[in-house]
Amino acid sequence: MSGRQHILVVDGVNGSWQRTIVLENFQHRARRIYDLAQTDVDQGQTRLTVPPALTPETLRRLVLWIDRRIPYRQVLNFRELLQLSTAIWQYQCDPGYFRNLAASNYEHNLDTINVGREAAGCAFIALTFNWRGDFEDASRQLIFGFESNVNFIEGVPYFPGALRGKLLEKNMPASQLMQSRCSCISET
Amino acid sequence: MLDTEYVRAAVADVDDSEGEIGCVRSPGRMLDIFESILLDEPQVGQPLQTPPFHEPLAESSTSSSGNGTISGRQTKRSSTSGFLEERRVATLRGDSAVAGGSLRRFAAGYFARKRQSVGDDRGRPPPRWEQGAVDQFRAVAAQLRGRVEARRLELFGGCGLNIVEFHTLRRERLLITQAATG
Repeated sequence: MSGRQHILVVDGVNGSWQRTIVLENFQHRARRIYDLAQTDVDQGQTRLTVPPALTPETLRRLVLWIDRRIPYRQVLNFRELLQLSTAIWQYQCDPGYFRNLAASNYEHNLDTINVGREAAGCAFIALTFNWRGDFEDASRQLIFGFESNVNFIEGVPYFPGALRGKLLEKNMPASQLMQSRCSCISET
Repeated sequence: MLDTEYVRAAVADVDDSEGEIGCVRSPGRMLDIFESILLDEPQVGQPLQTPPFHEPLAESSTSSSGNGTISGRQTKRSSTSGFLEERRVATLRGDSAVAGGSLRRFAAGYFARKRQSVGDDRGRPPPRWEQGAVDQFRAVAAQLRGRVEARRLELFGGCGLNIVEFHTLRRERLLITQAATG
């Protein structure tokens, strides 16, 4: 398995982690990492900065799984699955590469989480992997609970602005009606 | 025996947007409120409470004057907003505190009234939840929960977002190859 080699370094609280990767593996699976590495191709090493929305562990996992295969029986909890989805957006990854992993983990996680409370995360994960039914279910829950003055999606560090805008738009009539009715009542 | 018809009527009032509880026009919000009310489950030995804003005991002819109303404390998990507390619910049998406050307070008021019609409990310590009453509360709450869920499905089945509307966003941000569907 020849291919141009490059070192990726990820810093964390407990120190740095690094891996010598085959650059070509990332070209069609994690475009942003590939591009970053290309700019450092002469140095032979790239230091990846962990963005605020992610953990070093997630980044390391992502690098490993893209460079090698994804472990067949990898079990992720809901938070980890959400992190993976965030990383996929962050680094412009191919969601299809992770689809089977995500599908099996999403399924069993639905039993363990409070879907109403985690609706934002579920909607985001479903959007990432293009699961139409799950996206509709989760976004419906989100519309129920979404109030313009309460950020129900705080638990999801990265949440697409376009999606947020759509939710607000969907929920606006209901919340406006409620507010106008409340002000009527307090006068009587 | 707590009459479940009582609660069914109250729920029906809530569902009807033209009814007495039309103050909240967002059915989803109303269902959320119901769900959080249902979390306010009584424990055996807890004192019964009556809502402070509501005076069924003082007004009814069977109430005693002594320790008639016990001011209801704010429960930790009750999330009913202030605007709801001013409303009374017209049900088949007169005012109740169901939608105006906690289901537990409503049930407590029922039991307190029942006790007072049986005998004079002036000077007695405040009545407390007993196992039988807690069991009845749970039975009613379970029914109510079921109805809340069913109503959610009725109202909102299929009202989620369409993922197709976000395909452009996905194509911008993700590495979607032509062969793959996403």
